[in-house]
Amino acid sequence: MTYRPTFRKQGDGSRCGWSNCNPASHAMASQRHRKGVDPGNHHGWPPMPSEIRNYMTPHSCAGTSLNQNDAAVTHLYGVDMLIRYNIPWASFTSLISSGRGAVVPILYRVIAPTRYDASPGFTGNHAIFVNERRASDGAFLVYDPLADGRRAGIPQGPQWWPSSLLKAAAYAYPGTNTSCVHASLTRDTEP
Amino acid sequence: MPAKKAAPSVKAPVAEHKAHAKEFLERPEHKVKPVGFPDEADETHEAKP
Repeated sequence: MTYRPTFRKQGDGSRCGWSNCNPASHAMASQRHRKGVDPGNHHGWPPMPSEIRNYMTPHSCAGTSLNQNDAAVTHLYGVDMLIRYNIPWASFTSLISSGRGAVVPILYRVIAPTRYDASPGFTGNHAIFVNERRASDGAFLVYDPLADGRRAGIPQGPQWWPSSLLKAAAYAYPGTNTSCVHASLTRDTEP
Repeated sequence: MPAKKAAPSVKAPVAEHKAHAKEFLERPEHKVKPVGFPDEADETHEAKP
């Protein structure tokens, strides 16, 4: 069974929480990358969104990029993510099937009208962590850091998103070529 | 540079996906941030609690 990291919500009460989708997604990706093994340095473990955020922007809650988050988790946890742009969907599916997880930028407007919507009214850019693909129906196990079950109607924890939904939301992210997605990939953790 | 191969079928053995991943991740054209990719926008600036 594919290693599954601990779900981390972005609305955890820490500084910048509601703009911490990328740090929260990278916290989960880092735990997956290391299969839960503490690097044994002086930083915290398991990875937490607040530590990643504080390393990047200690005095503001500005937006962060995949590159900034990659640099942060490399420094904090020795996790070197592989950022790749405009990945054709078939190759993205193959990368996940090969044993890697991925932080994927999406446009939440696509998720908003579905039962997977974890922030009613929000339609902007977002980051999620994709842990694995289910062979039986092609669904992806998505860790949406907004999905904290904070009230009725909000999903809680990892959800199996239909392939078509993940694909549409990733395709819609700004600056993406037709039929492609962007992703920041963990190492291959599976035999 | 090795020849580019199409991604294997979703039903292909894991070994084929691992081989494709290894080859794909070396492709230089996917390492370059595209024009129009938001530098700082991949965040939920307006997520609603």
